Amino acid sequence: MNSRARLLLTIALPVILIIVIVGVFVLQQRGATTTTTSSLGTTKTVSLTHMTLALDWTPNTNHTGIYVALAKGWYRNQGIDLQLLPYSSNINPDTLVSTGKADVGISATESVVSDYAIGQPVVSIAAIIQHNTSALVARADSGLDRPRDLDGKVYGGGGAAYEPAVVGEIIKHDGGKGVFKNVTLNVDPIQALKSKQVDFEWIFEGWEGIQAQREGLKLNTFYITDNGVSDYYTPTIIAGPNEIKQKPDLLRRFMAATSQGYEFARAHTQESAQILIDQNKGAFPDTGLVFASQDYLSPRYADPGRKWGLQDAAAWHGYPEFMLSSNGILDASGKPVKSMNFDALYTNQFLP
Amino acid sequence: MSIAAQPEYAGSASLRRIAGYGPAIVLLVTLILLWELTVSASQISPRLLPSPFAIVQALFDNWDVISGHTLQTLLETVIGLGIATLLGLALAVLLDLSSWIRRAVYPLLVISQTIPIIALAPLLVIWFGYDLAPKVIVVTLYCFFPIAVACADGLLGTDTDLLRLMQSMRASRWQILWLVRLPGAMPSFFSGMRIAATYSVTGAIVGEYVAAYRGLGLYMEEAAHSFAVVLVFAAVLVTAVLSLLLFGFVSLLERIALPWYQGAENR
Repeated sequence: MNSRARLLLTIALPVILIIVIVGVFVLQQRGATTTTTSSLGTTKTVSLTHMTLALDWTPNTNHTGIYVALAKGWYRNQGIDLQLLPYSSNINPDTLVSTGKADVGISATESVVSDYAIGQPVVSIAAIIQHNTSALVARADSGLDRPRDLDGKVYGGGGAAYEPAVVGEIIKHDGGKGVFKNVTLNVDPIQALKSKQVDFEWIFEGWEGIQAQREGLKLNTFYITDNGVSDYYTPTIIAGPNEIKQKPDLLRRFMAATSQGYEFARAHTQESAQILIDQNKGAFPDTGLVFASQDYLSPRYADPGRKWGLQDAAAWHGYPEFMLSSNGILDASGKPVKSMNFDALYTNQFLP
Repeated sequence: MSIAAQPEYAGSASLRRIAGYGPAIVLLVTLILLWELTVSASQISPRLLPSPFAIVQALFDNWDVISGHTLQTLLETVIGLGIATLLGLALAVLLDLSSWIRRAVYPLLVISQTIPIIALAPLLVIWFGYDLAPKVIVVTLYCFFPIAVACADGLLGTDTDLLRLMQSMRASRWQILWLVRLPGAMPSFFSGMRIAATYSVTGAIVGEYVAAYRGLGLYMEEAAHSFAVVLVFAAVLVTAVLSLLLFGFVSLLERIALPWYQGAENR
């Protein structure tokens, strides 16, 4: 081989490699899109409004109603082409919503209050679960039998400013000092408890709590609403103030379909869990966890006889007030915020 | 005689090359066996550390899902690595133009490597969204540096006798660069390429961790949140294999471009 041939080959091989990979990718993409268009060919072609929803976490039973409405074509019936933005640990849905990169997102009371404090306001437009299901948990064999025992122990949290403040108040409410070590975990909370890396954690009963049961880990559970914290909404669906001003009709249609989805999930536990699993192929190695979690959550999306999504003023005053008074909410410069217009944080106007 | 001897020589050379991987294979197999034995002997929960066998099993069982993610990651990797190579070469030549440029630009290149992706991540998402661009940018950012630095060093280390010879023949600056200095820098360039190829897949996965619709990084994150550690490891296995393949591909290119150099290395 002469030097020219060697040079050509050295340049050509990488180029061929890139072309082959791009080619396979394009072919595969095309295959994927043709199957979706053919399956949608039966529905009437109306002009759809594109809309994005930023998820707060990887798919789970909090999102069931949305996946149901997607699978059943209810967003399309409302003239909406809904695209889900997958969860990213690097950017929260609130930022995406407030910068207009996403139309709606999933968030929680704590974030909505913090957003308001730092000047990136978002508005909660529906409560996904009507009552709070958060709890502090410790291993049952740890001897930490009531909140005040948590003094001086290691708390594995998510790194948000409100967490230590709220946890401290819960411990004080039970007569403790409210002093503990705070570490930020980036691992599966139940595994961290199992391996005794941390002493207690803040979990959602409907997901990690069920996971612990399925793994045979016995927990001491202190529901935060039983321990001096007033009831509040987590998760909630949020929209940006601009969106609310400019596209109220779109939001109303979005909420009509979403509400339909959650009402379906309330009534059809098994079927809606199956839809969540089918819509997220490969995401749930333990489908039993999804069904068990859905069993837990479906009756909790809203109290019997009540419409899904409604938010009460009491919930949007009590807990935010409590967070402010425990110095858990910091403004953009890191100073505690002392007052806020709580009524600007939520609205029921888009619910059907 | 020489014609008859050549294939035999080539055969024994490739045999020797395969034999050269022997120690690596023995070590790898030993480590995997140790891992398997440790996991099965101790009480480590498979949810914390799955055994190698379980990982391979999970990989095969979920291949239909993982393959799509793999293709996405591979695409981001090769495009990013391709751009990084061109950028690295261009920067190396630019650094070589004058010592002023070198002194001005070099610190900036070093600084570019100190930016934690976590700081850039929200900006990448807001500016470029969830599509291909931010991942390619992260891969390029990871990979151009070793290529540029290695190649620039190679250009600096040109044989002075050859330089004087070219100058005595009134060769232009670009002729010297093209005929003597760039070919002379190729061994260094390929060293940089190999480092870049090793980092590239990880770069793409970091980019996907930032925000993605598809890709091994997103898959790992989803698997971790679904408490499926074995699937995280399966994705790690795919990542390792991809990195090895890219590394092998660069070595193959080096073998084609610089056969004499390869011979020298084997001695």
